[in-house]
Amino acid sequence: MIELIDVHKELGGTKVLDGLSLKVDRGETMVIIGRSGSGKSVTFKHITGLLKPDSGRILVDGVDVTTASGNEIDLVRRRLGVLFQSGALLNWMTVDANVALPLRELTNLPEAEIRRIVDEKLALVELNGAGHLMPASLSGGMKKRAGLARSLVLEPEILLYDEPTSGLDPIMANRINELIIDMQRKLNVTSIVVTHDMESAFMIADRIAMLFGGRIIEVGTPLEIQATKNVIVRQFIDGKTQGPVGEEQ
Amino acid sequence: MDASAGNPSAVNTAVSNLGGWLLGAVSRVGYGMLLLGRALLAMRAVFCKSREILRQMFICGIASLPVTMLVALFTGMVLALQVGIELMRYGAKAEIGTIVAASMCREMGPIWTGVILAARVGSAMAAELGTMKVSEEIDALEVMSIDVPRFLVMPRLVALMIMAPVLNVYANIVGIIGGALVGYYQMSVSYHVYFNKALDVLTLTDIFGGLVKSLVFGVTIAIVGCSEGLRATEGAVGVGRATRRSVVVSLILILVFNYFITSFIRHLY
Repeated sequence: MIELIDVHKELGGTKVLDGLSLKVDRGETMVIIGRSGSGKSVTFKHITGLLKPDSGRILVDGVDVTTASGNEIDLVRRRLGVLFQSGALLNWMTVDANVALPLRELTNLPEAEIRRIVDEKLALVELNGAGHLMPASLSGGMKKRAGLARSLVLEPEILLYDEPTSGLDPIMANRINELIIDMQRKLNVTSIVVTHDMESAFMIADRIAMLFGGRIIEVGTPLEIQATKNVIVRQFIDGKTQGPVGEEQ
Repeated sequence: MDASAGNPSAVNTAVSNLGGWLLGAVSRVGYGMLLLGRALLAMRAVFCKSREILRQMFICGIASLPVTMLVALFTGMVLALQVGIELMRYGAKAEIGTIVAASMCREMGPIWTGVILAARVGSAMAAELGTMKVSEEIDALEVMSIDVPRFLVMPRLVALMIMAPVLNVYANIVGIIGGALVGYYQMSVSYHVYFNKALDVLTLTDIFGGLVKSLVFGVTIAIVGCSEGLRATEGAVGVGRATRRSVVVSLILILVFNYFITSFIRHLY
């Protein structure tokens, strides 16, 4: 369903992606792990079409987003739901207005129907009654959940999460993990999660891909990754300071 | 002799820096023109965005009114004072109204309104959109397929296109009144004489010329503020840089455009 083929990207003179290839099947939850600065967010921006690769192809259901026209990219994006690291809520709008934004801007639905969908999505992320609040008065976890509600209103087929548990306390992080699993079960969406939180990765992933040196060096189920013999992946999941990752850095 | 004079690497660096600066300037102008084109095209949806346009009109116009009035009042007063002192030497103090009205409507009103809007509104637009850019809100809008020029730029552009000329009219009126107060209390020029002279000198070309200037300044301030904000990078430092640059670029463009519009209007006399 989503395929990255030999993607290269250089930013500010640094090679961030160096022949990255990865295939994500329909309905699966793929977690991309890697150190901070390893290119996870850059990969994420390539899939959403926010960045263009220097070379390589990115296919979303057969549409190459690297060469697609503006209208074709819009059509692909209508099928994506994206949760940004900070939630990326518009600060001058209430939570309600933020969640309703894609519906008001991109559809002709009547206001009553928009109201119903917004309430339904806010209930799904357990934010009932918080619709009147402004983003500035929300906690980090609430912002992420409101962002998730907004990403769900257009019933996306693919959900992308950028560091969904970063900066959250363990209880809230687990709540977000449960929500990601719930979304997959209830809506049967394809999910790509970018994170360096291994606990979260093992909890939510169908498969885990390790990004290192600008390319995917290992892909496997959580059990396969836990049993890996690859010294780089081993060091990363064990969180050891000594090893090839430190030397490479 | 300067050691670097014949140093090819120093020359290369200078040429490279100049090239980099030129490329940056061309890229900035191109981005601004593209943004203006997309925002003008988005005006087809002006009625769908009426609520946001009204909100922006309040921020740009109503909230800027007190400071514009204050600046215009004292500009008119100081104009009358300076000109009055000279005219009294020649026994022509009755002409104060002529000079203050012509100066306010042709130059001072549009320029001061532009300067105030660039400092107060353009900088705020750059800071607001810049903060949205570095906090991923703009990325979020793009990923949702929401047209950023239509959603964010067009309402700000329309608001300034309407409010800059409106503020200019108020500034002209208040400036002329300021001149009248100084003329009456410090130069003993009656209100009747002052306003008769003021109305005699003003032509439709003066009034519409001033309005055209403030319209152009409004468009300039909106596009520079929005484009600098949308191009912001590198967190808070980048937002600060975008804000500063929006004010400097807007002020320079206001003065440059003012000269060319004045030159053009002179041909109409």
